[in-house]
Amino acid sequence: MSDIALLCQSLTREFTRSTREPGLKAALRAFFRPTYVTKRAVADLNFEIPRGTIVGLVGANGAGKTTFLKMAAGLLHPSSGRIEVFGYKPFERRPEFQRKIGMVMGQKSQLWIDIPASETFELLGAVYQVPADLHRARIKELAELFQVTEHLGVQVRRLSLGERMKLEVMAALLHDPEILFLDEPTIGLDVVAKAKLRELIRDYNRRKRTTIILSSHDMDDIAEVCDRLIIISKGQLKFDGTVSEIANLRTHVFDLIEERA
Amino acid sequence: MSLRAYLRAYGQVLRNALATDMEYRTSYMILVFSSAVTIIMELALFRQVYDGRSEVGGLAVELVPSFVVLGILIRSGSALWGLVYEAIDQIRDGSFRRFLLQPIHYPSYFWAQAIGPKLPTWTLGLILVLVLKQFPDFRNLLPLGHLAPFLGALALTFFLMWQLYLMIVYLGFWIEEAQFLSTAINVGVGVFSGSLVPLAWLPPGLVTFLKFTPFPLVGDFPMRAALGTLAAGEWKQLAIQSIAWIAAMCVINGVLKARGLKTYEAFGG
Repeated sequence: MSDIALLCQSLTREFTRSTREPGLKAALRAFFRPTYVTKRAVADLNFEIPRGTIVGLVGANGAGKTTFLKMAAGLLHPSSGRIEVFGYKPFERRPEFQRKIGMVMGQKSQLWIDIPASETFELLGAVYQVPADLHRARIKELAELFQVTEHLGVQVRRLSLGERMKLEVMAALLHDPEILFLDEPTIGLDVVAKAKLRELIRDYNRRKRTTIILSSHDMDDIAEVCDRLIIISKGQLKFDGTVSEIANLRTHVFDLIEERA
Repeated sequence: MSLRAYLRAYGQVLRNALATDMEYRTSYMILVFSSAVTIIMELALFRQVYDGRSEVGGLAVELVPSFVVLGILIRSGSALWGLVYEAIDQIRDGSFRRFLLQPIHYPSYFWAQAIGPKLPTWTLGLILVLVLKQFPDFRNLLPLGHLAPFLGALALTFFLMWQLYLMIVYLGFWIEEAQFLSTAINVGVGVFSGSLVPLAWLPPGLVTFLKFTPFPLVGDFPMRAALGTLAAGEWKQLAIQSIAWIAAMCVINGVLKARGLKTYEAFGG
């Protein structure tokens, strides 16, 4: 079994979007003769992530963090270059690959909001074909770890954001993925809920050696959770090293994002 | 995926969809109320149209009450516009991506989501038929001998509507406001399928044109199967036509899905 969880070489992703000036005249002109601009969301990324590490992905808005995560999870096809997760090409979306990954997007829910989370968990167990006994045991174990046992039977829309986010992370872990992509999982959470979620992520990684890639704007997420830090600015790699290599994390990160961009 | 695993997964989708729908209990009250009002209104209108005649355009007056009730059952039992709206919204806001992250067969998922909330509607429909059959005006409503041909035709109708609605969802990859297509289908089914007014009442040129569309198959076919007015061999012929349409749409939807996902990715998924 390879010790490399994720590998990317010269990874590039471009988006083509139509643009136009404001106003009715411009709208009409754009209708008949649209103009397009190409933006490089991710440009020539090269790195490897060993199995079992927690990597923090940092960058300003639009830096390319989410685009990278989407390519790693198989939601986007790279424009050029290579990306592999456990030897799979993510964009092929093979069921064997899908069983190895979990993903949480802070602003998108995978829980059915009108019914209790336990019903979504049942569905996930069935979709990932986890044997029923094992699935029940995992729900119990994770619910105790995440301290959400009492919330399992409550309609999701009646829960607080923090409780809901714990259940989202739990949902992504139920099939025991080998790699977990977390895109801004602490967004909108209060200080206490953030701290708890960080502790849970750290704890889970210690127990299971699950590779975790976490993108966040919150430096405390990175400092407290991650073994390694990757800074992306305008789609390019600006820093790749351990968190301890940077003495004053916050100042350095801002410098790297702004000055070298 | 084994059949057992398939049934476990999509059976759970069906249960979740049903459980979600049961959270909106008042919508069932509205459904019962609006069905009752529609039946009363339509019966009054048909009475005006018939004006003492025993038959208009091939529909005998004693079949009118059954026609009205069956029309409502067929239309409300196969309409999936709410689900289509939700799916297109998921494409627009990006939450559709969960179907790409998990080992999910989307047409089956959509199918199970469609069936779940329809179970209470179909149950209410069955109760409505059983209650109405106690009244003399409705004695021709779905006699036992017509039940099997009707349910067979209705099942084909549902499969056809499922593929039609799925096509609209996939068009949502290109057209931001693809919901309007769902509205267009609903209007088409209402006016041109032969479940609101008999097809024979429409202009002959239009009827000829409609025979080249799936609309009569999702209204006129189950309706006439229930009323027992199909000619010998016609059920089989219409069933073959329905299956041909379903097969063609399965192929088209496969292409739309594959190409649509590429388009979806191009804008960020």
